[in-house]
Amino acid sequence: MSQSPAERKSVSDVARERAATRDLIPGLVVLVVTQGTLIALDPDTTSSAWHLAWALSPLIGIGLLVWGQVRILRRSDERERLAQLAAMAFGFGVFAVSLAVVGVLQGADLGNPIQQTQITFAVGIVAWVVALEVDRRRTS
Amino acid sequence: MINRLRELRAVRRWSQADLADRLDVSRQTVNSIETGRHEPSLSLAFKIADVFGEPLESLFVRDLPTSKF
Repeated sequence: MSQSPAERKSVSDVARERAATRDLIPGLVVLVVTQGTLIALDPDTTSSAWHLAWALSPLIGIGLLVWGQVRILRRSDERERLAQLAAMAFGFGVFAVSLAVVGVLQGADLGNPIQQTQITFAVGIVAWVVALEVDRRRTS
Repeated sequence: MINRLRELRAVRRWSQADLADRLDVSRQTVNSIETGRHEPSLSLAFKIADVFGEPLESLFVRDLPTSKF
């Protein structure tokens, strides 16, 4: 399916999208593999330093994703960078408010702290992605 | 800030993507500048002027605020 000339992406759009995919794939693969093995094998992280390192292994994937995101930001043109940073700021704001909600819930001994922390992180990321998508639709 | 990008682009029969290719920016960036959502940096504004072969001051015109009183 080909795009109409009015909707065609610019050459730099295509180049940036390809480079972004290249930058994010290693982090995603490492994160899926490390998190997957952790969930599947469920190591006892208190028994040894080795197990603790294994439990922290998803941080390698997260670090690679952050590195990829920094490269994406550096490659973006000025308006895209502004939109990315505004979306990140919005995501961080949502994350901070979610964290305050979790604090209140934990203060009242309600819910599972681990699940609430993971949900807080996910909510921040979703808010970031939604803000980017809203910007994309407004400027398309 | 008012700009003449859309008008000059139409004269040359360029799509937004064509202009974006020449400026090395995304198509959304061209759209945002044309619709006034984004004001380009000075370096991008000079690049736009070079692409159209027009002086900078003929491309961008200050939009004077109307008095509220």
